Amino acid sequence: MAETETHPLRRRLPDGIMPEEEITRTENRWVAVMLGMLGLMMVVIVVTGITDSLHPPSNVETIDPTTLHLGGEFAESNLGTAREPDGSVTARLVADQYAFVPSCTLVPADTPVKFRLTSTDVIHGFLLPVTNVNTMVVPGYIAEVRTTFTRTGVYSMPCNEFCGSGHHGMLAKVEVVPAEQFPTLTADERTSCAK
Amino acid sequence: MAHDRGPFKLSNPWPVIGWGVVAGALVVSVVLGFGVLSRFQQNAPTLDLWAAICRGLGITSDTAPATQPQPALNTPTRIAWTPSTLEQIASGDAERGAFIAMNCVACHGQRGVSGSDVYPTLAGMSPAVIYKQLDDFRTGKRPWGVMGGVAKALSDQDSADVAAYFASQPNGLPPVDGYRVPEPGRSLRETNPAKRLAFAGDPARGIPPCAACHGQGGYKIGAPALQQQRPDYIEAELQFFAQGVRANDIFGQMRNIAKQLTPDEMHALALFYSESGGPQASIR
Ligand code: HEC
Ligand code: HEC
Ligand SMILES: [Cu+2]
Repeated sequence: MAETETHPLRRRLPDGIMPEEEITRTENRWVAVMLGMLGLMMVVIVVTGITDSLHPPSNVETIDPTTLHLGGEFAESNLGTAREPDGSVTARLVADQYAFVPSCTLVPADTPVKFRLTSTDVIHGFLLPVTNVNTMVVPGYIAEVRTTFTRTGVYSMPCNEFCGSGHHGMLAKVEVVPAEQFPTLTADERTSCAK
Repeated sequence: MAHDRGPFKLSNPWPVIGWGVVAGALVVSVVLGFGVLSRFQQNAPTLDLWAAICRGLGITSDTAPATQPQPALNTPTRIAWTPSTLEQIASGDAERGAFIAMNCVACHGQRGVSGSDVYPTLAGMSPAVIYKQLDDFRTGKRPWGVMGGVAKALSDQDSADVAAYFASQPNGLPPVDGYRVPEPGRSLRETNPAKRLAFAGDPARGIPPCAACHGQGGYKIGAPALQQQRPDYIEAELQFFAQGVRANDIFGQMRNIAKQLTPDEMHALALFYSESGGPQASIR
């Protein structure tokens, strides 16, 4: 009987209002849980961001998507892998319904690679599994991601963003070749995967 | 108790602590997000702290083109689907076009319905396709002796007019639209290889279904209707694309696909599309 009198939840409520200490206690518990979750998520984001070098989509360069093929950086003859004076390489790709152009891109291993992509029509997705390369390709914008491949082989990955009725036939192919083999390749060989 | 505990009363320490935590979290997030995460990404060694912060904020000066000697600029076509091009095509006058078409019917057939396997049917073809192909013939982007000569005699407005005329003629190619009819046999399990390629493509080889661009069920501007086209013409064009003889398709849309097709598949697809009982029959 004494118990029912002292337990705050059993006590008769004055005017139907919860006792203030009880509200404060509940609120404090919820705040603690929420801060804990927030902290955990921050730690996960920062740790994966740094160890796996996941890029925030942080490149805002605009370009007219209708006239890409008429000239400039994304003209057909300028696509594929180009070598920079500092030894790194830049790979330029165009995504359109329903293909990545060039259909296969060769890049050297153990070399800093910068991908620059843009779309002619709708949003496509460029993702190379088990690397930090994962970006949306948005028409009107140039997506840029940097990576260094440590393994050789062919990355083959369907377009990662539903883009229409031919979406499932849209494959991104990137072949990583040994760094010493890369300079011997001609521009043509750099855009076709070994059969 | 709560009544003397307003969030802005200095006598009460909790609001100060609360605001302090929020401000602290903001500072920490900014430093982590724009500084640490932007800067210490394993593969951006060229970025200094300031450049990294700018990049994190989406402001970048990193627009310089590659410095490697660039190959000669080689464009597939002069046409881009800009609003002004589309307006020019839409301005085509079919009545004026009917006069210009008198120069064409000797080869392309009365009203553009071809009776020969060498000449494609133009009746019912999208005006955007006719306009683009005429421009490509004119500039030599699509090499073909006779048509090059014919197209050189036409102005841009003539092209738009004759395109409007042929597009409006009946009994030719059915209009391409996005109208899609679910029907059995339009999946990867289809056993007829031509029908499978047409409606499901071949994902393993990176071939999207032809129907995604050529209809029915999908449409890409500039992609001609294939149903009821002359079979020999379809097969020949696929071979030209595969060999690179015809390279006027924007970003190799057709070249990349045709290169993957075997001669048998090209033949089967050509027959499949030209058959009057082909995909068209299931639509209307
Ligand atoms: C001497 C015969 C001849 C005449 C006259 C001719 N054409 Fe053609 N045309 C052809 C041939 C042959 C082709 C197919 C070329 C090829 O196989 O690549 C063609 C292709 C075309 C195409 C491309 C069709 C497609 O499906 O891609 C268009 C458009 C066209 N002609 C329009 C015209 C117009 C408009 C005229 C009249 C102003 C005309 N042609 C007059 C022979 C002719
Ligand atoms: C990504 C979209 C796309 C897909 C998928 C596609 N095509 Fe095309 N195709 C085009 C475009 C665009 C053109 C016109 C190219 C140009 O601008 O000259 C074209 C042209 C053609 C032509 C020439 C027609 C003419 O009248 O000149 C043929 C034949 C053809 N495609 C057959 C096929 C076949 C068969 C398939 C399936 C295996 C296929 N296409 C898949 C976009 C596509
Ligand atoms: Cu896509």
